[in-house]
Amino acid sequence: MVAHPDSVLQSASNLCHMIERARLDNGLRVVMAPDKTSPVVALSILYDVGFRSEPEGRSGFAHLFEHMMFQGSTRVPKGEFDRRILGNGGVVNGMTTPDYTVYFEVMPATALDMALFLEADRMRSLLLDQENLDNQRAVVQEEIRLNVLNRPYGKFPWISLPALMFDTYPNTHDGYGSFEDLDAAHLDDVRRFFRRFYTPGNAVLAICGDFDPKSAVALIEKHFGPIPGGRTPRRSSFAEPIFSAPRRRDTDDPFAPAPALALGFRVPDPLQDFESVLALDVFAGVLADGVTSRLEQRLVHRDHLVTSVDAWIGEMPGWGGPLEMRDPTRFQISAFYPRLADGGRIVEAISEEIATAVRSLREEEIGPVVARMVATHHRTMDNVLSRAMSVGVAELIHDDPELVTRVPGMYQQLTRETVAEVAGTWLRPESRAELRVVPGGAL
Amino acid sequence: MPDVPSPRPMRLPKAVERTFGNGLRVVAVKRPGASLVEVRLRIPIVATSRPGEAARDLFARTLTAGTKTRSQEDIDIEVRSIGATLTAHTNEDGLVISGSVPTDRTAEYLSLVGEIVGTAAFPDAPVRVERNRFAEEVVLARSQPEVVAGEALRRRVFGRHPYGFGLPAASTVRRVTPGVLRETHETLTSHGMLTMVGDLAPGRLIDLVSSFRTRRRMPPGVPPVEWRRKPLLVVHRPGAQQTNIRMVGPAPRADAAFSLANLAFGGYFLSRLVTNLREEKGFTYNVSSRIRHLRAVSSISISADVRSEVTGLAYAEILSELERISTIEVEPDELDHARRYSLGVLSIQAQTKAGFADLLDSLLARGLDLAYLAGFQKEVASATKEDVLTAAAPFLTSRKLTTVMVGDADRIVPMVEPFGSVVIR
Repeated sequence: MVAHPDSVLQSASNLCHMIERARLDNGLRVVMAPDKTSPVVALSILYDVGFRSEPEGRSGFAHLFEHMMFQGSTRVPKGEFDRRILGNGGVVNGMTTPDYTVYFEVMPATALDMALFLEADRMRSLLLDQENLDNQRAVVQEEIRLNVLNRPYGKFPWISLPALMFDTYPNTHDGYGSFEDLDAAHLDDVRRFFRRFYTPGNAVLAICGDFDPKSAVALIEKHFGPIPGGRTPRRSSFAEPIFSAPRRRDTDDPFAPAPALALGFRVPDPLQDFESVLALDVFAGVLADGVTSRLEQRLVHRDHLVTSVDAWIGEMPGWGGPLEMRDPTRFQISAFYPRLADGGRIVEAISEEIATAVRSLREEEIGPVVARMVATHHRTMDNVLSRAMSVGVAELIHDDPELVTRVPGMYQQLTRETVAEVAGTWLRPESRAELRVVPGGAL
Repeated sequence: MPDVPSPRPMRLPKAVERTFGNGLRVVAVKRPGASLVEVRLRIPIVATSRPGEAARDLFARTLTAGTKTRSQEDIDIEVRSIGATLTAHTNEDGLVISGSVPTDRTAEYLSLVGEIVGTAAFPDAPVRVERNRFAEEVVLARSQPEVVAGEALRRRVFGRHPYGFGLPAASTVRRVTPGVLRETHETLTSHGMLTMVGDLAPGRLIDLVSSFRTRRRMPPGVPPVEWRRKPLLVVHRPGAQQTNIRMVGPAPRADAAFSLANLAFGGYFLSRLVTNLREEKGFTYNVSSRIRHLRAVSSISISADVRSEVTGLAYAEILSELERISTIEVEPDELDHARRYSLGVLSIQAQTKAGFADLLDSLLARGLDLAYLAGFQKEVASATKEDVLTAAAPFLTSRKLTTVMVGDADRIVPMVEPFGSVVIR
């Protein structure tokens, strides 16, 4: 019998047990979870637009726009946003995902009024000019060189696997975009994008930490209330059918000293069948979390085929996980292996292990996986910023911020039968996409 | 625009400390929030040769490969079943074990960690697997330009000093035997430092540490470091699209004013380096400076990854920013922002148990404690721009810094030659 760390479950859930929701007349949704244990407050503001929504010929645009949000407004000059937050002892950043773009601050509790003012200010009157666009385009291109082009395995398989798994532009292109498309981005595009997507009705504001909800609502009303509601954009569906014959592609990497491969499978729509997505998350742990996991045992310790193996759901390991995804999304396995090893044998071995696990999954291998996931969840929630991000995402994607507090229990209730059945349904060889990195091996 | 009062120095919790008969020093602190205990354990190991360094790294990677009574699988299942994490890695100064456990499982967790540290057995089969894996990972790591840059810089500056060894060669890793690891374990010092941060009274946390009963062995000493500035080294990376610029030199051991100088110079997003090279010129996504403390040395380093064609321009800007920060006082605004940022991020880091544990652990590693942190915050709150200049002048200067660049030598050497002699590798 495996004991679940229940004590963690209780006290950590308390950190966001008092979730309050509000909605301004202009449509802005607000989620608050106060907690007075540290004199620190975290704020996240999520816009319901990500890189899946950027137009064809403008790949990378949502992320480029994220950079433009830090370039000043008609009332707050360029650089002042960062100066006000960092210069008052806070930290600030932004992140662009397939389905949303989030901006966040953590700071001393006394700076909340200031942060709300600044977020409202840029939502109302962002300043968009050519000089800043050119500068941020250059910065973004350096970011891409740094993280993708100038290194081996740059963001593998995040950059390249979607193109093999999907057929329509929103799902196939990567969020960084091509240099050609970035160069084509025009100031008019930026203005249109802002007017269309950066409206109060398309946003969620989440606040966690040391604050009083009543006075916070008054401040939010003061700063965000006067922003006109505008039209809330209709959200497009990005659904596409699942392919029915296996796909395979090789990609050259001039810097890579050794090969790597990634397998991708589609998963159910998280909004229709969240339980199955969580079951697949647990199955990923059964496959590749820890030395006792099935793929580590087989590929690393028994057959000595690979250097490392990983399995996860969503964008990249360590990103938001099952909570932050809309349909369509994916289950992925990656492996790095020496030049002498045979990629075909590795893929075969992975298929065998999946099939065996589906047939003979044991209760006692799920226990430690779930225990680790639950504890990790609470460890993450110990961080006030992670809380503000999670409740914000749960509100935006699931319309249910308290889902965050229920996720640990949902993991614990999954049965062996459910996990095996869901894995057997979704991780079939005929719906597998296989991408291999062919090493060029410079330096 | 709303006004914000200057952040107050963070109120520090009381730390309880106990040193065991074998020399193990334990410090525990209570923090509110989730029911978790964060654990950090540092054990100094000084590598005296390159093979010794390889053995030390492999030692950390195979520490959990089995004890006298438990297999690697037993340990993995036990750790995960109680919802805990446990990792071991090495840095220049030795072994760092780091983990986290739900509070009600702390006793069994500490007992397991104690058993692992005390009776690790380095069984042949898992050690061989990990050794091969480590050798393959070394090859992968060496293909990453920032790893190449970091290695080249360490070697250039620290030479034959243990801090100059760095990542071992794959062939050296393959020659480390399980026997060597067992010998390393035999000589492991008992003078470790154990940090615990959890939602339990510190005294009760320390009472749970009963299982670290290793024989008393004195800690190894580290040879002193002698700084000598060397000419610019360019490491050729054919086809590189960016140049990784790295500079390093000495820093004072503990000085609030110098830490403010570093912030103003390149230590955070409002710094001069970021404003100039990234926000104004768009040369780079990534430019920063940072202070680092090891047992035998404190250093200041600058790093910037810039596109190849602006390597010379970017280097010139870094040099001119160094000239400015070491000769002219910072602006009142710059000082005020750095001060507030410094105090604010401390509170933010201390908000999580993991963050507080890392903070406390890094203080202990430098021979400091929470009382030092209280004093540091006071000094940060009161330092003047004269203090900052006095602190910066001897260190934030090109006369003290050694530079390494990794990039396409054919393109970048002509750009950096005007700044002085260049060595190409």
